[in-house]
Amino acid sequence: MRFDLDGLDVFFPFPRLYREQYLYMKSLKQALDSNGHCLLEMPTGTGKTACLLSLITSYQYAHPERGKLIYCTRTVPEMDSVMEELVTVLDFRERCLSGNNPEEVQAQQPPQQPPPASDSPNSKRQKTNVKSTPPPPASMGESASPTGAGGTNVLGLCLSSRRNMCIHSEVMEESDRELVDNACRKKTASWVRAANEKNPGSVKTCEYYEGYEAEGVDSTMPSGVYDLETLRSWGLKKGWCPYYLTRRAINHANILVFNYQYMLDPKVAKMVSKELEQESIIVFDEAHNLDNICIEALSVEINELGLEKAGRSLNTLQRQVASMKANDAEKLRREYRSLVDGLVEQGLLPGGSSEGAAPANNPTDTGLGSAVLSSDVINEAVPGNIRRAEHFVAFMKKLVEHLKARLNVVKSSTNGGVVSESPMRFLHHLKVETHLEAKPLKFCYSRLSSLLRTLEVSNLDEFNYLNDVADFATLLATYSEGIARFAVIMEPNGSSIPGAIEPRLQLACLDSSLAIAPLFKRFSSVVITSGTLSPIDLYPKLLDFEPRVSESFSMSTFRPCIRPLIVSRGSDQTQISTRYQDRDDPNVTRNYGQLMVDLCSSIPDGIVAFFTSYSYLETIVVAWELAGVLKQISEKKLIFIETKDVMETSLALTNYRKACDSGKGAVFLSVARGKVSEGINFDRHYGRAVILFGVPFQYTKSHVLIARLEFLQTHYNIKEADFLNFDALRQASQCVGRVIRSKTDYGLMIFADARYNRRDKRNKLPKWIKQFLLDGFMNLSSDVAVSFTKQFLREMSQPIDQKKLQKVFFSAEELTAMETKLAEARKVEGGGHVVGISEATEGGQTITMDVDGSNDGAALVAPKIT
Amino acid sequence: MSVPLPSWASKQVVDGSEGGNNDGGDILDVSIDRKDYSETAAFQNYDDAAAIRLRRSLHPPNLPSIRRSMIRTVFILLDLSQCMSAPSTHLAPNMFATVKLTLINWLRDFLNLNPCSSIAIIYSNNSGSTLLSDLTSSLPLLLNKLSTLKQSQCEGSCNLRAMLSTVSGIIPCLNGYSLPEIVLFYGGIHIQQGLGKVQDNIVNTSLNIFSLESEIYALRNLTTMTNPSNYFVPMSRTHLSSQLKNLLLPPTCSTLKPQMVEYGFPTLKNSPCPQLTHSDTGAPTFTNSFFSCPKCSTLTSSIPSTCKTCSLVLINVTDLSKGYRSIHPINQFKEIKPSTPCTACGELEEVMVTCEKCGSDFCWMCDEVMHDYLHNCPGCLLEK
Repeated sequence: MRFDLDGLDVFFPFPRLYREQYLYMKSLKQALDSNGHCLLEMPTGTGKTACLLSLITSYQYAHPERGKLIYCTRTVPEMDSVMEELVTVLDFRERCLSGNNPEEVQAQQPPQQPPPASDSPNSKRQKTNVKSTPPPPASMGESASPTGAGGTNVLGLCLSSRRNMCIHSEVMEESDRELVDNACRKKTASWVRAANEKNPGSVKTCEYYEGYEAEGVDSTMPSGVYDLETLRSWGLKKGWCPYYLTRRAINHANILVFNYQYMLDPKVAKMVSKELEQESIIVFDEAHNLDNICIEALSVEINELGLEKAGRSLNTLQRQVASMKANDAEKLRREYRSLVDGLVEQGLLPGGSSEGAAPANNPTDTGLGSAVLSSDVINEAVPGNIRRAEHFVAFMKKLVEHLKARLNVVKSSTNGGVVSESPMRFLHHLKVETHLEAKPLKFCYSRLSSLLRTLEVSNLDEFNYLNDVADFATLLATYSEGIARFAVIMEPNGSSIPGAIEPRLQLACLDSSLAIAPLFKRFSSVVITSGTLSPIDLYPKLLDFEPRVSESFSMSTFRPCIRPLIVSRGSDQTQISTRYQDRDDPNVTRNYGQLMVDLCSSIPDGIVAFFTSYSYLETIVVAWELAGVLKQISEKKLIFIETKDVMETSLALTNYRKACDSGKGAVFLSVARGKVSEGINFDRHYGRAVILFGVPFQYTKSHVLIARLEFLQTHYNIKEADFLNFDALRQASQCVGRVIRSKTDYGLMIFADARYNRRDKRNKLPKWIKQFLLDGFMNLSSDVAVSFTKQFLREMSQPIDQKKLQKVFFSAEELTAMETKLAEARKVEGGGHVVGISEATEGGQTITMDVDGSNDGAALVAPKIT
Repeated sequence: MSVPLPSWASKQVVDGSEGGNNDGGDILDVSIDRKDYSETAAFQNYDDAAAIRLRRSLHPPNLPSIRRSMIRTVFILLDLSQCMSAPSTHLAPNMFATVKLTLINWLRDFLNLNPCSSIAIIYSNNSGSTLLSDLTSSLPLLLNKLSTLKQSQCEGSCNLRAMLSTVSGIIPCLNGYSLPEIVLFYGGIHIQQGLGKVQDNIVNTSLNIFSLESEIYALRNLTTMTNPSNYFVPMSRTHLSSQLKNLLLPPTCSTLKPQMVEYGFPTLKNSPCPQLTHSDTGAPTFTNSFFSCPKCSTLTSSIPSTCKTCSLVLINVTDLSKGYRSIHPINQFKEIKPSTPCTACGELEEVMVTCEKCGSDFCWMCDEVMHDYLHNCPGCLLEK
């Protein structure tokens, strides 16, 4: 449908839409209009992606000056589904604009057309078919260039690592990402190609890259939407390398889809961000863990083995420097001279971007990475004492030795002492011991990549550990001044195996706003969205920004398809909880076991159970085995367990799905912060119920966490308990959110811990879960919960009333009617005069729209201005 | 408001079928108060207006050109696993008793409306499958066999695959003019042996599954593979019988071609001295009244049955017309705002309908009776 939203012509690819979709788009538009950032929470399975894409592309269409849409996803499958969605959206727009009114086509369709968000396999398949149709015109050179974001011709691209994009048969044989990168570099590095030119046939080069170099560089990509598969097949057809082609073409693209890291990691960010317009719209989808990702991007972890390897790499470097000095001293001298001139001239782009495509004279000062690496690094010349290659190697050796020595102290200390220091103190220690200054440390990372390039090293993965050390030094020195946003933590047993002595050195970033700050500063609109962002007011604090719009939407449903149950007591009325004190209480273990058995015998198909940690999962499995609980469960269902091994877990998942399909039923025991809790869906019969045993708090004895909590308390005034609760509850809602992926789906969410019953925990659940959490479903004993379960499942098994299902959809006319109602309500609220949303946003205020969760479409509450 | 079958209608059905068979074994008294059990808050108003409308919408639409099979072959598969005898709240006192009782009532209705059809009953317990009754059109025989089932037989697990392969063993021996229908009552929530390649057995059948506990994906998925199929999850005993009612009408089968089938219409004869006659139950008996086959004059004690000598199907001519009527129902009535009381019973109900042909108003209960049992509109008949 094509409708008018506050003056914006929106192309929405489905004939009808949900109320929350409408409101979502409306708030998104407010944020874009006011050039502000926004935080939006909308439940999964309501077509969030379709909303985002259709609104933003429509906005681009109306305002061609708004630059690119940059859509960040977490995983490759998510990326694929975004691309699929994008094809539907743009395809619809294309048909709308070409005059071939798709509304008519839709009108002929039966009313039982699958709802926009329904995840039924059929609808996905249909989309996949559509995807293959976008016609990449055969000849590339002549095709009309895209007419910018505002034109009908849109170039939508996605970018991933070489592993996902390479089409070279030899390179693709490698399994690991690093190895693929290496193999590629060995064929495409500038020196390799130069050698080949001099002496054809001496080295193998990549024919696709050569093809791209020969003709692809100067051509324009025809407009269309290219997902990974299309890019690969297109590259094959043309004989051009899709990876490099895409990397170059992103400057022309209107829509870019890629991983978070391309935006957040300062080391990679430079590569893509250099030509992004300020007006671009950045979207972070599934962003509930954004603060952790930001922190990870700026944290470095080194263990003893890593230091050992770094030392060895330095020896290799030393040998290579010596041999180069003997053979080709001119090269080293050239490098020295350029270092004197400063880094800007160098075009210091990390990793693979150095070859071929690296354009000279980058305006790096507009780059993203530069804002993170302090401006000193950009403008200043590399200090004298590390300019010479052999000096630099010696410098690094000293540093590595010092780190080794520090770790040794930690390892051998009798009290198992963990050392947590501020960067300043660590640097001071370093200076006292080794006389190394802080300033050259800042340049370590850039200096190392320059050296590696000069030495023509193509197997970069061997120098990974050395890179880590250099990264560590650079970050440490760059942020040593001012308030301590980092902590250096050295612990004797950093490994996950309890008791094993494996010292670890960590540079932990404490301030999650650090990595994302340049984004907020540079781009006018950053959209952060997810199914679970509650409590929504904490994110602006954690990421240190001021959202123009921050909203949480409830779910409009035609039946209560979610049934949250808080089980606080066992059948013998003793309290159940995974609190540290109660955890080993045999009563708790037994009651949990009984609950599990009861649920297994009353819930068909798949059940997913989440435990708070791997160690707790292990203890409870042992206890259940001894008590015979496992045997009882296995009479009903097959049991699968998540392990730390990714391969094992995915095998378990496949078999779990098989068991659910065959009707045998299965239960999957997994961990709240593990792989399964994020990104893997347990929709339909794969997850009729999710059970959460305990509240998934972080391990509070972790030194990194302690340091971070301290930091949050002092600098952002976030209380320790607040943050821990917030973190645990968002994890919990992530876990339970796995169970429902569309409106026709249904699922049980069982919170088995007395602590969920407390108001402070309960209120932190997302609105769309809270709306189903009635008083009657709280503080239950397990037998009552089981009887509720049976009743719920039977009610949900009834055939779907198509009429009611249609009621949650709105057509364009109904939306207009809704709009007027909303305006009227606003009038009343505002005491006679209309409080315009634009007025409010200009004042820099945050609008929180309160949406009634009832089923009757018309019941809308006017926005309250806080 | 919880009247599943209008009482006078069901009585009529009972009368029509040589009653007196409903007190064998441990069959429960029908008068158990249905309201006491499982009518939980959410579904207390099951029989409220919305539900009636939903049920009305399940009535066949007014499509004249649907092809249905008059002669039906139905296999009833019963799960007699352990869980069937466990106490249950929504199908109290337990699923076995409820299903058995509901099934008995349904069989009466079914054979009343589809007299030319035949039914077989298969059950499964202890991982095995047993053919309780071979295909027959004789109600007394079926009821007899059913009454031999005892609650104590519910043990072990149910073997769905074995039951379905029993069915697929019989199907090839059937006449070609009817679509085999399977009605499965499944009490568990898991399928212990898995399903394997069971779908091969059920192609070209109509599959109707009752999941008595809650929805099982694998079973629902099975019903999507065959057409026409149904999947039901009963909320209560009332709900179960109303769902079963959907199966009284033959399924549509567009693939089957019309065929000429030979039928014999025997006449009832009385003789002062008892004659040796064949009977469906097996052993020949002496009776004073009997039917003789119009083809070979073999004597049979009851109809509908098959002549033991010449295999001619013997049937009452009125039964045949009844069967015909039931698949050519009167037009769907249109719902109106309740204003005038029902023409038939004089009550004013929440949901009222009107016959578009003659313009008489009826309440929803009379509407159901007319559509399900009378197959005639009294208003239209009066006009004639």
